[in-house]
Amino acid sequence: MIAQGECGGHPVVYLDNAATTQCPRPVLWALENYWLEQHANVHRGVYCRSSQATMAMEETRQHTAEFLGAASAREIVFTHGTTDGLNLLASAFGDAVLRPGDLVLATEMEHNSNLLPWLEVCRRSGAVVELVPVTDAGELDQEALDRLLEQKPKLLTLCAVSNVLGTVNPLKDIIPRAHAAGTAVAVDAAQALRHGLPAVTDLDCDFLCFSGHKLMGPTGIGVLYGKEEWLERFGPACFGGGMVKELDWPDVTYEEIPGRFEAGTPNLSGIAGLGAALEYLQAVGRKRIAAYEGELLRYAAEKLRAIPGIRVLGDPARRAGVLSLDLPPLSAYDAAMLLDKKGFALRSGRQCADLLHRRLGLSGSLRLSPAFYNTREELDALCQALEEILSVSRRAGIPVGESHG
Amino acid sequence: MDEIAAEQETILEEFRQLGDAFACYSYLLGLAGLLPPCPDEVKVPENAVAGCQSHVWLHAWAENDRFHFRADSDTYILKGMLYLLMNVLDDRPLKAAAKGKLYFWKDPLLLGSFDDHRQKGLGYVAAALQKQAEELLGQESPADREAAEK
Repeated sequence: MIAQGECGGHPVVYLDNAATTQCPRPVLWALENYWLEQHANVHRGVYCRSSQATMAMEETRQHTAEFLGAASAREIVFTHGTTDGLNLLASAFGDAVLRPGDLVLATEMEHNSNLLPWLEVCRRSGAVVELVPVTDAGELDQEALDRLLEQKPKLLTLCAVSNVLGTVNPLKDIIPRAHAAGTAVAVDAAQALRHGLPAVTDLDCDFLCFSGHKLMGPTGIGVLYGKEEWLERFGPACFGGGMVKELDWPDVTYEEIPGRFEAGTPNLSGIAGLGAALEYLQAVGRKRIAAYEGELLRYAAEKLRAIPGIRVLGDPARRAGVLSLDLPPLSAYDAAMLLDKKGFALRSGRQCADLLHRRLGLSGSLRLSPAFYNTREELDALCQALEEILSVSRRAGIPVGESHG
Repeated sequence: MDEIAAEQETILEEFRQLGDAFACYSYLLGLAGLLPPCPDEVKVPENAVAGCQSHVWLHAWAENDRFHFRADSDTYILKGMLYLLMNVLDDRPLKAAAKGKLYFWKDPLLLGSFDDHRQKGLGYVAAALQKQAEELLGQESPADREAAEK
């Protein structure tokens, strides 16, 4: 159903689903159908196709709200992806809320996309960003978080699942504590939505961002969820067509939410693909997917831990989606390059999580992230390939697993 | 064929005989051990070519109008490539090192994945070395250059 193809004469075993997932056929059909049957601009024309395109976009917005468990489709803003959503949020929150001396909390395990927008917006507003540290097990230091919350930060922004360690942050425990301190909470859910994230109304987070391409959808489409009362407080961060209610120069009235945040022509084919991807995930069964992927990850962790010379990074109480490895003194780059020559697609490097790698004392790591179309047999083959790489390395005089344990 | 091109052809022929890409990359791990040790004082930020995936340190100098360099990396595959680059460029006349056409890692059958400027791969490292050779060449007096060319 999902083609993985060949590379260099080897069947590709795609294990980089934390970076992007493969599109199932229903998503590709939806994209084709959009371009062949529906393509027209939204909110512009009175003609049939434009109305249909607008309706299709708003249906996907409604569907996305249901998928997330949001109170209303008005809380769903289409973006280009998680990075774009976090940038939009930082800009809007910075303008509406942050003042000199205010505090924003992020964490040491964040992807750069959930650090750099806040760093920049705080520089501009005179606010300060502080980081919640990570423990040796790869969890957020909850005592440190409580100490930082005593300073009444304006916002806590954190990932639901670490893109490096797979740590599942206890959001249902953290969010009430943050709210008790008067702190809004933004969740980077890029790695979380295939792994059983509760409904946003249940979580009670104030904001949440995700990308379509990590959910079997196309690239270039994502969502910023924001509680209606928050979005109503924000002005637009981007200006142009489609977000203006009235322009009586120089006075301007902007659209209601969420259109206020969607200047210009939206990524309509991306929205069509996202809608199909969400339908597909629901048809397969979100709980079923989360359970199967969790089982694959546990299986991989157990097998990898048994290979001398490989260290699985972190030992969080709950892990989802990804496992990162260290194979000292072989670098992650070496291992990923060699695996590639056997057909295995794994991520290497700092994975856009520079601070976390510094905390771990590593210049990079090797990450595998199975999805529900992967199998135990593929993970067995990966372990076999890794054992061969370690063996080749030892023969080359590289002391893998000897001095580093 | 000049010496630099000839050395690269020798390298490519060796790799072609290895058979497949995995064997080539495994061979590079072995070559890593042949890279001459790089003094710690060379591995300083000003000599670093840093990337997300790996770090490379380079230090070049001229001696008797010939180009020399030491290099190191935190990855074994790049160390192996640096050893090959050393075979190609080290102890060559400055002008040849600065102007020689370098291409061995670009062979699509073998090592195409190195030519990735975004990751500051081997192409970037080679360009940095040739720039240093160019600068060293510029520091030579015309008399030195004339003598070297003879």
